[in-house]
Amino acid sequence: MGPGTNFYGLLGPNLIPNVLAALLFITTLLISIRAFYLFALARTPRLFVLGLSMGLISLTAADNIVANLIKLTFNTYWFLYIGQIASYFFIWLSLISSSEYYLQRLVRWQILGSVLVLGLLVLAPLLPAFPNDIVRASLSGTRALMSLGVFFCYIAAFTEKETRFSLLMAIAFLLITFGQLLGALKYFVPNPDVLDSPGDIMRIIGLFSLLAAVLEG
Amino acid sequence: MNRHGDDESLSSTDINRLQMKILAQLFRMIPTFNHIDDLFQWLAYTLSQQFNVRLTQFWGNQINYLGQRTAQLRTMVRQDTSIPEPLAASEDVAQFAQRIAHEQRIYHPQVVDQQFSQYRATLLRRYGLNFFAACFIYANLLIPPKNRMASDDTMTPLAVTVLLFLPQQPRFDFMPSVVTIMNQAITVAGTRGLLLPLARQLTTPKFASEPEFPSLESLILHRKQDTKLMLSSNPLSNATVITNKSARRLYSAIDGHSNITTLCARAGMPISEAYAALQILLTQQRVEVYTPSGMLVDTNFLLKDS
Repeated sequence: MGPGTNFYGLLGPNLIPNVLAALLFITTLLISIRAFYLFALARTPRLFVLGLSMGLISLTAADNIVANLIKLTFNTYWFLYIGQIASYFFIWLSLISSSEYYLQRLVRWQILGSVLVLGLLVLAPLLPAFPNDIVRASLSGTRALMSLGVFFCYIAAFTEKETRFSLLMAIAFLLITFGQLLGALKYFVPNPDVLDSPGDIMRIIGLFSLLAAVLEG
Repeated sequence: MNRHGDDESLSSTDINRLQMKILAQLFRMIPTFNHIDDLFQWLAYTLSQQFNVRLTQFWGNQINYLGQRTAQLRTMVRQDTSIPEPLAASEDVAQFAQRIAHEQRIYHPQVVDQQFSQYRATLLRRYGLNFFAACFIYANLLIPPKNRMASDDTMTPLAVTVLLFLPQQPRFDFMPSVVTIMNQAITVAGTRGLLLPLARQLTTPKFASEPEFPSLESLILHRKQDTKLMLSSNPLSNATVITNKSARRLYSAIDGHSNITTLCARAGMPISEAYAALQILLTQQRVEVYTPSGMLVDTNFLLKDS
């Protein structure tokens, strides 16, 4: 960080978080674009849910990159955590049922939820900082809970029919879950880096597994 | 199983084949029957076995020495013996059988909730009796009383209500097959002396509600979700895409309520183009086709020209 500037730089102590954020941004953005493109051609509600969820996650990742690079005077982490919680949650809900009626209703709820989440980004300058680490850890841990739900869906799918896609997705979400969990637990240990870096690395590997699933699965 | 719980294992050909098989067996078995109830018992058992009918009942109309007409359960076959007899032969089931005899009509397969009280329907569903169908068979032949030793009941013209309870909704041509079998059985029974003849010809009610196959234009399309998409199969692969433009337009227009005529207008395509697009969607298993009354259509009929 240069003296007298608010720029942290790409390297230094934020290297791994920056790599994670960049990889998350690129991966989820590509998935989102592809999902929306296919939705236009296939009109499958699940694709819309996937596209919107991944798009929102890519936006949180972009926000994270910005927050890692420059010092922001306002707290965008409300948007980051709640955005990811909502996104993983809707992906999880979309995997529970295949009913056309159910998925159509889910899409409507997701659009409403996404608008509300985007409101958190717009209103970030007005939002307060986290009152304590417990709140922050809870939000981080909640997204791990949502990812865990998605993991169980893929494990169930894999046990029913063993496909490479469901295996890679299960691995991806398991690693993402544990990475997020470590990121939540870091606030309760004397040296957060002990958990933070391994957590980020797990999430990076999880994202590679996710990429492999959608490219090769 | 589709969302309406239809038994997808029986096609139209299967039902025709079963009908012929049962009739062939009937002609072989008829010499062994000494009483009309022997025939009814055999018919009920055979219908239960061949068409997966969980509860089969034949209700007759009997006139006692007081001249009172009452519904009398002549035969009952329970595929599942755990179905309690008080439930199967309850008062409201008997009243319903009597009503069918009065209306002299055919009830095509429908959910039990549509005719029975919520309480009764719940009880029926508990034993897998989710759907029912019924028909009324009558003839100018006299049917002996059920109790072969009873002298108080008089012989009455044949008037039998066939009440069938099924776990799954059968095809739309199920009841016409049952009626055909019953009519043939009655004819043979009259020939064999199990029913006493009268002077007039054998008649049965016209199929006032016999379904003719609805026109293509009146069929209603429902989208069929790939249950494995995003779970076992990659949603971002090209297999997800409907490559044919017309098929994609038709698919986009489907709302689960509109018939093909409306969909053609909405998609801006002629019926011939819609038919070709529909065949593509059916081949890719992306849609289901229903009649206006809500019955699933065997799509082999629609694909037979391809």
